[in-house]
Amino acid sequence: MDEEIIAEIEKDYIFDLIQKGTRSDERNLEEYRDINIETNYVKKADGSAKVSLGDTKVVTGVKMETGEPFEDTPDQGVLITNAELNAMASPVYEPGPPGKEATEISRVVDRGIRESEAIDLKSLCIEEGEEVWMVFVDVHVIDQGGNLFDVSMISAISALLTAEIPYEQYDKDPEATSLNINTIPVSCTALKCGNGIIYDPTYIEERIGETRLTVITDSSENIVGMQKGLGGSWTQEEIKEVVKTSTQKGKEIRKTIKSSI
Amino acid sequence: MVKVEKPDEFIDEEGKRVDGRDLNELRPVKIEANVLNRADGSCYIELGDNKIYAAVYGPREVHPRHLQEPDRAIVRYKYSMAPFSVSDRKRPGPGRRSKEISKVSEEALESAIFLEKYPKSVIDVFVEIVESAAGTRTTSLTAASVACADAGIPMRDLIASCASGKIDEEIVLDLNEPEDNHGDADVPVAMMPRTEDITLLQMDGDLTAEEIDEAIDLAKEGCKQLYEEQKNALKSKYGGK
Amino acid sequence: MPERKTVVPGELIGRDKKAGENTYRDGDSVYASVYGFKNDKGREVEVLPIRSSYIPNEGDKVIGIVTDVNFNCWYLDINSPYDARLPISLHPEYIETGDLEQHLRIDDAVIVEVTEVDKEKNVSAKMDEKGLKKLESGRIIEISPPKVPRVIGKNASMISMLKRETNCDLYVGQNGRIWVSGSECRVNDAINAIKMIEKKSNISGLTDKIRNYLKEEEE
Repeated sequence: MDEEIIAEIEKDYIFDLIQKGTRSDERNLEEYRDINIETNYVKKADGSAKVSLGDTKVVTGVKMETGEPFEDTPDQGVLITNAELNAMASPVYEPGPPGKEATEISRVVDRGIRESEAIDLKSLCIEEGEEVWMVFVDVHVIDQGGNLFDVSMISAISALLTAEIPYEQYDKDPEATSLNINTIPVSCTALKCGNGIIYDPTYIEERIGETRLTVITDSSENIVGMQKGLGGSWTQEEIKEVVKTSTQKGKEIRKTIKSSI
Repeated sequence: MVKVEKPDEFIDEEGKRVDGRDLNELRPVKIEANVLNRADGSCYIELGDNKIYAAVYGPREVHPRHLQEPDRAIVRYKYSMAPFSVSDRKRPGPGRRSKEISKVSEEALESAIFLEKYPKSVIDVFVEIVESAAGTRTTSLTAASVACADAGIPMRDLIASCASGKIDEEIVLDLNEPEDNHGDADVPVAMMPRTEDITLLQMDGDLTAEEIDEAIDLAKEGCKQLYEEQKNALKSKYGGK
Repeated sequence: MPERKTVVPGELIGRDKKAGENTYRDGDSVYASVYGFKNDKGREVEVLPIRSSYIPNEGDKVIGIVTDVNFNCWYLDINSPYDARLPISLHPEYIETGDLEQHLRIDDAVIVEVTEVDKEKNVSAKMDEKGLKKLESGRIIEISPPKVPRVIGKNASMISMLKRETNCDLYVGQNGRIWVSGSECRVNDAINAIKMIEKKSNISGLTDKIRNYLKEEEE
């Protein structure tokens, strides 16, 4: 389907505002939109979260079942993250299997959870080489208002934080009822747009932005993942700045997550 | 998480069902119109534990072009279930069940729309089941029709939809999960409330002709109640009555 | 304007009356065919839609955005299921075939007039008349097309007030696209006011309410 239609003069206008240190929704360049988190939203899931970030809305569900471990990690549980950009979320999305955009989002969210070691996969081993817990994280975008990386990460970790392992359903002895998550990975996405760097971009800003950088930090402020996107380029100085700001913003978002669950 | 098991009896001595409802009683329902920002029209519905979003885009240009009808709009209806919406995780992607539901729902909805007003265009309807608890096809259709109205699509009427069925030799309204999984029959119905014309009808089970008649009567009563909620959802958005 | 009743498709809105816009008749009764506000005009009853797609009509002045350039015409998105075709001959300047992109490029915004809509909804437009032009700066926002008359107001009262209070230049296209421009003007206030009109189009005394809002924002 076609791209979003944005008039050239509207682009110039947004660039102009950014030059002046503001944006079309009157935010400052580093300001995030309101975050709203509702956990335990879907009873049939083992963990779930409905999250909105401004106009963007995402529902994530966690499901756990037992299965065989991978051959190279016989003593570890399995984490599988999927993202779906539902056709209801945007006029330019179409029904069908996940495309490049959805796959990139699911890979980046997966990286955040895995590399921060938010889940101790070894604790999900039931019998080495035979049976482990498999954790499915399904991120469903239902309203695309921009910045899907950050909102997907928030909803995935919020759903995992509140997930309960379905021991009874699978006749297993309970060792722990929750996933025991001790670090909260949070991503922050910066967009270079009209000679400025802005955070938490809207879908219009993303469409006219030159280049994007997502930085994932954990609770100890370690950087656990990064992803550069879109065609343009960053200088090393700019990257330094984005890393610094993202770490700071990450702290604020983490606070919001903690107070919401 | 809840496993759905067959109860010893579906109806107790006092005539109440396993969830405490009367035989002709709907589960608690909540409908909200215009809940999504990007879609042209949208609706969120809860019926019991069912949680469903419906969104409408259009009328808009048809891609691919060869699907265009020169004298009318086409309707595309896409029913999909989130993997976490059911007890055992569902693999993503449409199965045969979703495709069939999408087709009959598309036809049920289409019959209420003045298609000739928008030649060569398409009205896309997307339904996402976030949580499934029996009756998703009918509940989706109820939400989809509110989303169509919210998008400003010209229609003869709304479409209200619910199921009736048979358990313990009784015809009951709006089957819940144990009743749906272990009952004797399920009759999903959709209708245009003004004329009571039926635009969707399926039956799955074993019923006599008299029982089918009774089941349709009861489902229609359910549709009328849902219709009141649909109207409220749309009217409360603009403060009017 | 009295506050009007909200109606939904299929709702009975009158008997023995003429079926106006967005209604249909069955026997003696008139029913709403869209979600909107009932407008009883005495012998006729109609519905003012809350949202609806823009369907082009001959003579409408609309804001289009170029989506494609051909060897002898441009295609414009006009916020409708139907694109409009602007032929090279109806551009104000004389243009050689093949030079179209020097004048209008993809994503350029223009004010054009709809010249023809055929039965199959093929739409033609022109730009060679006074007031029709390429937009060089400013913002374009979109509102629901049925709200356009409300933003303009009776005898253009609302739009004149908006221009006066915000000092912005405003152009309201029939297709729900609004151009907001001006160098030293209150663009955000103007946009917020327009969004407010769109949302509260059904309440009475709206012009005064919007004027008060703009006065308050100024302080």
